[in-house]
Amino acid sequence: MTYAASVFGGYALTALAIVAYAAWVIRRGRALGRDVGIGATAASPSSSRSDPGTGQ
Amino acid sequence: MIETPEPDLRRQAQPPSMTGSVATRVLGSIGLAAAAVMAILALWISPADAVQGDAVRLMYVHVPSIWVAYGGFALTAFASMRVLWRTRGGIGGTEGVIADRQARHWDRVAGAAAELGVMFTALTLVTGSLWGKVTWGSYWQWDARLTTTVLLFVTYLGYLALRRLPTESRARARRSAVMALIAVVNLPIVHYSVDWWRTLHQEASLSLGPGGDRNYTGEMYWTLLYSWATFTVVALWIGMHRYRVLRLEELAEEAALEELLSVRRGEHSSEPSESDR
Repeated sequence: MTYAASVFGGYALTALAIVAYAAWVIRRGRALGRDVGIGATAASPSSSRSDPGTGQ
Repeated sequence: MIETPEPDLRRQAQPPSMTGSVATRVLGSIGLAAAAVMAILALWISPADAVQGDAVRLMYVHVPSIWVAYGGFALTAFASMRVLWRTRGGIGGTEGVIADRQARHWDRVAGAAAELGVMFTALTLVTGSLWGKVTWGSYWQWDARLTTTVLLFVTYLGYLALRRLPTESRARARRSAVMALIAVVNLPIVHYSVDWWRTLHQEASLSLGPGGDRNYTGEMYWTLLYSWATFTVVALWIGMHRYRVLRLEELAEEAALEELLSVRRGEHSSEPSESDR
């Protein structure tokens, strides 16, 4: 394996893994939100003081 | 911290993003821009190493990955301590309700941070293998640093599996918290393994504190620090979303339970009573 191939592979895999994980998290949030019927304001930290972090 | 009762969130309108907020949008934008700059710094501006050549550029993803993973696991341990502290008493009364809500908050923090830690540890192992192949001639060696890192990865996979066991949420949170506090013992062992044992893996990239030695200087040093900051922002952004997804999962569980109970109540009310027969 050449240096260039290993560097390219390392950066590509890192970017792919992070993007795929972030996309999975956001899609899961959307799916769950639709099921439960939660609004974006519910997920906003500024919307409520009742639950630190989520505003829920 | 908890002052108002939980609002009825189910009545609110549905927006396009269920876990997004101003904070996540700002963090996401900063993370994206920072990643673009990081790629330029790491791949073009930072010089090649005198010995390792361009392979050294893998350091800018490999080292920040494990630093972020360390941070995630340390946060998991801290949050787990909070969970155990908040669940030490009874569950009744106003104080019990408040403690329970705070325990759930810290439990979600622990879960989100551990998941990120596992993901970044996996990235560390993969990028490390690629780096090892071009510098050592092998993807894997049972060296102290590599072995303890893979043990860390497997331990936290077990922690995530434990979190998914179907049981009462309070018991699950307490069991997970105990496991997180056991698992975190491996963290300093991973970090100091290169000092404690003779290893193939190189020494720590940066030693902090008085008399700390730097193995890297100049553009390499600053690019490494910048990469770490970028990874941290990206991890925070994903972590906030993940935390909110965990909250939504709890609400979905509660809604399903509520529905089940109402069906059962309906069945009971439709059954003919003794007087009707």
